[in-house]
Amino acid sequence: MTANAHSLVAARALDAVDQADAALVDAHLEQCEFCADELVRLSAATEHLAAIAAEQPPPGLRADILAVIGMTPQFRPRVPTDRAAPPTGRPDQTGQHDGSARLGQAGLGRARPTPGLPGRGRQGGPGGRRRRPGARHALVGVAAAAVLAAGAALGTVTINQRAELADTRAQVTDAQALAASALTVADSAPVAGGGQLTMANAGNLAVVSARDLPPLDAGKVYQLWLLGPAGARSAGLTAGNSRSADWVVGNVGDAEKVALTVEPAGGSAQPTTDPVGAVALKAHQSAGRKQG
Amino acid sequence: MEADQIQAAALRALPGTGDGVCGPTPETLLARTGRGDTDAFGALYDQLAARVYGLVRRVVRDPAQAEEVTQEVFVGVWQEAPRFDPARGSVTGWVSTMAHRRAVDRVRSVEAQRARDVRVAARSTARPHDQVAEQVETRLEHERIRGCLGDLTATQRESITLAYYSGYTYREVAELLELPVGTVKTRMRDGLSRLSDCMGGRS
Ligand SMILES: [Zn+2]
Repeated sequence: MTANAHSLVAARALDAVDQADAALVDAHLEQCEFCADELVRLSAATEHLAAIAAEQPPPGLRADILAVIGMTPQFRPRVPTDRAAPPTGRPDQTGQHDGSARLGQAGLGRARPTPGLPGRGRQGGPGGRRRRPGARHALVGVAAAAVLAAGAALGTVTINQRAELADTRAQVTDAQALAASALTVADSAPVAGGGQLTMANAGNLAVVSARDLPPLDAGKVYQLWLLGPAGARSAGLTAGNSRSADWVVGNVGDAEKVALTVEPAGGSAQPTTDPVGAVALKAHQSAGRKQG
Repeated sequence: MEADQIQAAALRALPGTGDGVCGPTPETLLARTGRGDTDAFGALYDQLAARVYGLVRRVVRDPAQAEEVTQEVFVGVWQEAPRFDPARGSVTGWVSTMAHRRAVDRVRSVEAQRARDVRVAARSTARPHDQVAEQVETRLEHERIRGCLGDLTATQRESITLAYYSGYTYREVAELLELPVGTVKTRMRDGLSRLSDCMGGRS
């Protein structure tokens, strides 16, 4: 069903359009000055709606976010083009800010498609929305994806293995300490059957990203391991039937590589199958070695 | 401590005098953030966090998910800051739009796992305003906005709030309200238009 773009400007201002309609309207906005102006006007009204919903966030969130941005590189400034152009210019392919707030165009506001959420969540709020466990840990995953910047899509964050909050915080602290020493993409390796395992590491910290993994039978998950002279140490699980994950792995210690295996749901204490993918940790640190 | 210092300290401690009104604007803070200034980013967070989190939580409802989305938004702000073009609109508008779209995306991504319940949705949008600690000037402004919202027809208001606060598409709103799609599109347009006029084009 194709709607008339002209009639959808208000719905666009409210983000009450699906992606197909959004694309339709956005294309129209570039050609119809009337609708572009209308969108600016109606978006001002939605800002009032945003204002009256204000509510103080939990106090811990600020520190979490500051920790994450401490390890998240910024995009480079865009080469200035014609600033005098009317606000009908289209966002470029990187989806960056380009007046999208006012224009209601895609821009940053359009998060990447999120894959199916893991099935481990319990029923959440009054709408029955699922709460994802390990939320804080997942937040770190956002940074992980950002740091990797190896074509891995930011935003497709999945849940890591259940970890203690304190543990997560310790990792973030590691990350902060290492922010100065640039995390570099160490390596990337294909996963047997499809998908990619990518890792960046610096010092005692590794950021591992798995993408497009082959689907697993029910009751199976992917498990990430640190492999070293001392054997295998679990570094995380994919959530439910999720086919991608980001892990921030602290206390890398003397591990030589990270490897991914298929394990029963809930994970195993030690790998029970052969790895489907592995990436070597290149930078071994001599100091600050911590065995977790 | 000198008397005037004490007075100055006391003034600083007063709610509503320390931030937003007299402090740097979001525009200034974002520009500094764009140059990698994390202190400026922190101050920007302090100014916008309630707006972002409140809006996101209104849409996704679940507090844990609201935290996640809020973090996504602010990490996005951090990353995009060097590219923000102030000629294109306000920082607050930009961040609000980003927050809303991400919240809506989140809510729609869990759609398949969630039965949409009309009554729950209606109840949630009709829910009285949360007990937010608001500054006086903010409270007055918000009263004005709510007043304008109250002046809309019921269908206009429902169409707008189901879409904006619950993340429904116009087609879903039409189903929920048992109205033709065309009617809902018109109500959304007229409602937003009236809201905008009522607020005198302020933002
Ligand atoms: Zn038009």
